[in-house]
Amino acid sequence: MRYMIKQRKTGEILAVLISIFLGFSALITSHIWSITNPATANYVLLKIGSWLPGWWGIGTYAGKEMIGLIFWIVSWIVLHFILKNIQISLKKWLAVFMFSIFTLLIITWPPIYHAIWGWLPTKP
Amino acid sequence: MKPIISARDLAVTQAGFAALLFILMPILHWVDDSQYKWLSIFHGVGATLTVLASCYMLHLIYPLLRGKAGTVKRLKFILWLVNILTLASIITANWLYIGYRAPDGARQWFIYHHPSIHLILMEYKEFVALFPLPLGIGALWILHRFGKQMEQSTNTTISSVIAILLTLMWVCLIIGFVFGLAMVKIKGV
Repeated sequence: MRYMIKQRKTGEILAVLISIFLGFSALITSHIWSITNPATANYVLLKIGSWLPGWWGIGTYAGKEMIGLIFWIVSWIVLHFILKNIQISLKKWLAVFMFSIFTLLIITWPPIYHAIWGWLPTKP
Repeated sequence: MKPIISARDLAVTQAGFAALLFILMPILHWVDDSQYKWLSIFHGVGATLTVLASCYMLHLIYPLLRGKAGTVKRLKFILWLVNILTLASIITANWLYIGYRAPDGARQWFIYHHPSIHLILMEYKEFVALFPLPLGIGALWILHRFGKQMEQSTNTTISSVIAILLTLMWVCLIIGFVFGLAMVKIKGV
């Protein structure tokens, strides 16, 4: 007799997809925040990233990475327990996921977000 | 008639030579006299190995979608490897970024000579090159949780999710790799 395999619900997969999107969005949002409002944002970003070895050389990028990491991991854990007992149709969600990631890849292209929020002079 | 050399042997030879020569590219950077020379060699070798391993990984999507037995196990192993290499490349990248941003470093040079290289290529690459890690870890988690289910069912929906996650991962890896190569060709750290 073939042993029974535990059938897991596809909600778990949806939790993975949404948390990836949220992590990426948080990363990009924190970057755009540091462009639109550097005085406040850079202070916060430097502080969040300051536990990382070498943060003094990495600068605000360390904080942006931390924000992305925290959003990804925390939202994954929360969504996993919310969605793990729900069976969903993956086909539709997969299309939404692909569209969202492609949109993010386009928005992350600097001439696009700078066209919306302006070019600030970057001092060497 | 049986061919003298099998197609598999030819493919392995080609891949081996390509891999060897690609890895030579960052290693040859040792003739540079930069203070961050060894760090940039580590990052270059790490990124090259990641892209090479991810190309092999991407090819396992085809048997996965066809439902060939044993693919989940093989894909899980190579995905572990790619994820570790990606993480190592991100760590060396952050480390090398200190040298990139240092006074009189590559960033200053770009902003004086070719601002768009820093303001567009680097600003894009530094974020997109972080994308592969969550995509790869997410795919590995799905394979871990649903692997047995996938092998026993004829439904390929979950395999399609894996295929899309890994393809996106590979695209982001290639973006980071090519932009990195383009930049180091103009000015190394």
